[in-house]
Amino acid sequence: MQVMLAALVDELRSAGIEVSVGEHIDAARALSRISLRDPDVVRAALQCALVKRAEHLATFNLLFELYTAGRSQPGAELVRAMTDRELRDTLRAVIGSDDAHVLRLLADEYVRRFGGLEPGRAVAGVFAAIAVNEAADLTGIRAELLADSAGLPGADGQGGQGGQGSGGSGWSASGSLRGRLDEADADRAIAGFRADLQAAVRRALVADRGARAVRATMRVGLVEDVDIVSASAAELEAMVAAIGPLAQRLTHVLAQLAMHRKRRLSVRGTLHRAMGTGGVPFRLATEPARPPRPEIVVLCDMSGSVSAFSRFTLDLLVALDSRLSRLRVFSFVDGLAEITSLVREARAAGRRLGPGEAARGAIRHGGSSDYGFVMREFASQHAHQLTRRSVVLVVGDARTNYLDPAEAAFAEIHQRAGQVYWLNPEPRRYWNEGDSVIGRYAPWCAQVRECRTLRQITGFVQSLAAGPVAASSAGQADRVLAGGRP
Amino acid sequence: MLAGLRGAGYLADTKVGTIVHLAAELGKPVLVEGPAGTGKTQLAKSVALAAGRRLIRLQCYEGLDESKAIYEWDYRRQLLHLQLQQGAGTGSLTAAGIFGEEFLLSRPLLAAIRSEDPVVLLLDEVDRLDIESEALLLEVLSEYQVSIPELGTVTARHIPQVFLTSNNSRDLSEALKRRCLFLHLGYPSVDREAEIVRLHVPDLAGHLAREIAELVALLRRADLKKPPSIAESLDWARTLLTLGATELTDDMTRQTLSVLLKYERDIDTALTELRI
Repeated sequence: MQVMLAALVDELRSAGIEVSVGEHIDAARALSRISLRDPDVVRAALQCALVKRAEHLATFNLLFELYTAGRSQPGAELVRAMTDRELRDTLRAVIGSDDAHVLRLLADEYVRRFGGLEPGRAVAGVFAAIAVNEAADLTGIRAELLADSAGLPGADGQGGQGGQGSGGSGWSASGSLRGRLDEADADRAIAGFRADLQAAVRRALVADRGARAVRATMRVGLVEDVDIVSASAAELEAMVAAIGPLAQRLTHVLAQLAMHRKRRLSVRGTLHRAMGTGGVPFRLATEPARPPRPEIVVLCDMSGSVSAFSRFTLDLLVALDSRLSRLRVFSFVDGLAEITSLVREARAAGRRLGPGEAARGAIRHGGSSDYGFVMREFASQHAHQLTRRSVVLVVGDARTNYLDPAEAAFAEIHQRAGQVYWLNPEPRRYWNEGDSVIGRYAPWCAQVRECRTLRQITGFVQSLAAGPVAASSAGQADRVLAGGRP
Repeated sequence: MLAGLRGAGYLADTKVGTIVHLAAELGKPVLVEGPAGTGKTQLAKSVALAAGRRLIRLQCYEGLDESKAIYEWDYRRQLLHLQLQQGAGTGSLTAAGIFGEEFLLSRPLLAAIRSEDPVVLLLDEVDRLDIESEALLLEVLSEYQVSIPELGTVTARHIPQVFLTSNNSRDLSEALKRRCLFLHLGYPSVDREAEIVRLHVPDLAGHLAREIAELVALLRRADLKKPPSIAESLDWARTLLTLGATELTDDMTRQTLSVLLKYERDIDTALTELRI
């Protein structure tokens, strides 16, 4: 057990979760005070000692599963002896319930029977997962669950809806509400078992190849390091959830930076204070702090390839609205539209801006971006409002579909604004290849940054809002994300 | 442990049970984090009730300082004492004996340390403290002692069981987190929530409790500004009971949804989500 713990701690650290030696010791002590038979108890004991942030729990759970897979479960023989038919009936009876242990056993058995995973044979886990999902006939079970709760005779008669199942009396007189609830219930049950099956496939793979080998093929990273453009739906959701606390942390760090900024000595104030001490200046007074509050103008590429990233940047900027006193947002594809008020409204209502909404008015002809037109349009329509305190931020991949990039217009924008930054969500190695013209805009930018993860966006926003004093603040972002104090 | 908590009106799952047990075994504080209304404070109260211990509670807020959290000298009594002594004409201040235990006003942290019998100490909403005052807690949480310059160090007779709750409105310092066991309380599963409703509103029809849990679970996944908490599901259950509902009809739901959701927009979203 202690060896397993050491390996797990190693993995947590390499995934970016900081585990101190003290916490490692706590976990070891915790293990000596509990029964090791129930995996849920072991998991809870290790988690409470090792992981101190809610965002890191998912990563911990995944790694914990990998490192504890392969222990035989009590009851496995029983399930093994069932016929396929019995297996399905049992599944239908317990699916959606809180009986995690039985569900885990069933999932393991399904994978053993139908997964097609043979020891030593290289087969991708994805195929096994598909095969098992097929075999478990989840669509059929869902239909039966619905039929059951609607009070109609299901395909399979009154399959045991154990104790607290949804087969109660008096529910058949249902309105649309009842139907909606049943649907949600069935969906929840199916989704839950699907996750169980996936975990079972992982366990089977671990049993075959060992935890380290499986770990190497999986993406086990923290939310802040996930590539936004290629993130899965679940990862995106986690990221959206991370934005709020992130913005708060950033605000705090920025406030600290502002506090520690050097202030000018106020002679008048110092003399005034000295009156109280008979003219001897005991305490110095300084001029009140004036934090730099740049006006930020964001140009977001909303074309398909990078819109996910653009929306993220937007979300974070808007969350920081109070620090960035004036924020104007434009979206573009092959046209340009100001969406500042839209973004504000969405923010006030507490929802995210939809992709269609954000791109509204930004499309003239088709869905492919035309940077040249956008730059010319912005230069002629809006550039006169820029001042030396304006910061122009372009978010996009600078892929202009071989159209004229109109650098002259961009140069004009640069001339009017205080600073121009470019965030490119494409990997740096693809820059200036094909129709990417980032190199032709670069000479007019104060910085061109590769920006693919939350961590990178945070680093950038921070350096921006903190102003020139915090030039070295790129490293700060890491600390903010790691949860450390500045 | 689970049975004890259940008796105190708290339905704990394996995770909660294990962590509370470990906290007592290892003598470490528990940091409970999670969305509002998931029973963080209630956990501490129930643990106290189940163990038959006194609960000492410190509500944290911005600007909380040593004199409110740990201890304070009772100036008035000290002053009076000095005036009484003046007649006697003793020499120095220390000799006057004004820094004795009888002049010490115990605030929650010191009270928990000095208590004769074992207690449960609840530090509610630690995330509201500003970072500087967080450090006040460290000595108490790791050593279970309080250093008073004039008196020396007061060490706990019994290690108190400590719970800290946080809504994660800001990040707590690493120093604080390292000293605690971490428990994240999310929303419960449908089955567990139905059971909670049954436990707290026993007169409600059994199937209605389950329906409430299902509907609330559905709403929590919708895009709401403030998802309904467990406390609000219970309120709703009580409302339905008062209204004598035996079944969750569309009308009934529409009329009572305002118990569950506190924003106009959320109610609209919910009605569309539920298609009623």
